[in-house]
Amino acid sequence: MVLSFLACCWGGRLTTQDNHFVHFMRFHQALAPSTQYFPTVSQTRQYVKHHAGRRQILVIVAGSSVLQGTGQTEDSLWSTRLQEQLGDEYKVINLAMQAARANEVGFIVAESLVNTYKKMIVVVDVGHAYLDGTPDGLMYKYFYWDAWYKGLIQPYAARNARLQQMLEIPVDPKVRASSAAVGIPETTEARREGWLDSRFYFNDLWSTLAYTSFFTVWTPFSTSGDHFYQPRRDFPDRDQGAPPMEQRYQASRFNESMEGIRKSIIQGCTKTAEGDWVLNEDAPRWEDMRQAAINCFPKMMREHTLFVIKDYSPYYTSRLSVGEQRGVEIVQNKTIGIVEEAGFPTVNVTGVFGAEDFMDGIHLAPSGGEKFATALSARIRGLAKKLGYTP
Amino acid sequence: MTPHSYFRILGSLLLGACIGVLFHYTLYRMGLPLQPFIYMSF
Repeated sequence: MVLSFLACCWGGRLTTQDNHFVHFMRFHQALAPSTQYFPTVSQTRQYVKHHAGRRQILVIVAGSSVLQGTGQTEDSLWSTRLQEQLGDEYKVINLAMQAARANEVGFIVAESLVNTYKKMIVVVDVGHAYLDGTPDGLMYKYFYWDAWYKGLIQPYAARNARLQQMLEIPVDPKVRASSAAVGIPETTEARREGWLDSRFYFNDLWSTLAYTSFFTVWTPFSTSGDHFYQPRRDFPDRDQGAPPMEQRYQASRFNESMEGIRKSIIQGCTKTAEGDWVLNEDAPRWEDMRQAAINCFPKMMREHTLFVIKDYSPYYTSRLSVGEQRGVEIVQNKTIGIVEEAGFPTVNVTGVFGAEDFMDGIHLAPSGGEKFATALSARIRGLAKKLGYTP
Repeated sequence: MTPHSYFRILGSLLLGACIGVLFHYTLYRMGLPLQPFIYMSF
């Protein structure tokens, strides 16, 4: 019994030394925790190391579903367009994940490889012009602790202090219950799991088998055509891309989408008696973001982590009042200011999209992806030059 | 040692091996959420 257990641990450790991903374009639905597949840091690192040459400029796309390319089929993925525009001197790898924050998943992989790749640029986005301040991430805490206990990320005092502080604050049971209801894991659990896995490598072994050989967990997602036990390698990327224009922007979601935009204005601005929105320098949002930028991103990563600030779909913003439109602009500009102040380069991709370039309020359709890639490629080239990667 | 004893030893080894693998797998399964979060786009 003990021997077979140890053999499993040894097997798990072995899987961390090879690349298993084939035809990997992004973490699509079948390769994501939302369908019970939890890629590990080691697997993802090996994929990068296998595909990116040390002399190339490695461009890791981290962040959320916007950068993951939700709304674009595999053939029309914006990061593929970016690769085409940048050429062979660069290697673009899309490690963004749906609902991931800027400091999660892809960013952790980039941080773990910063000493291996001397020429690296990480692309991240700011969802709703807000930077989350949880150092180990929100939805994918397991990824941070996986890297941490395997010694793959550098100790960073401000991040450690913030984590320690968060662990010491007792969580309100109501907050705990509402977090659990939407599937947000607890730090203590994720931490314990990371510690155990660094000793026994169970996640590495069974996730690798789940990808290469067989899957053992049924999920509602598994019913759509394939058998749940098939290896995830065999599951195609099922993103259908943006629907025809008349099927986008569903009326049932209109209010919710508008509220999302208005909430970000309210949190960062004050309404004057004349009905205009002006910047509220004292809004807690700004200090939270300042702290997030400092605590969640080690200093050594900042100068080559490119923050993307992007518009909402004009379908929604054009329906805001003029004052509210100004509010959106103020919030975006202030966000850029805070991020730059913390030492990050930024790219402001606003004013280039039409409603037809979006699939919904924030996700880009293929035409938007093309424009996005064009805007980013110019900025990435400029940044590469500034960092001394290119003459 | 009778053939019966050999079978017993072999059986015990196989059973032990299965329990070891099962225990390792249990550690993996314990980390999976009962209900994965459902991603809702904006």
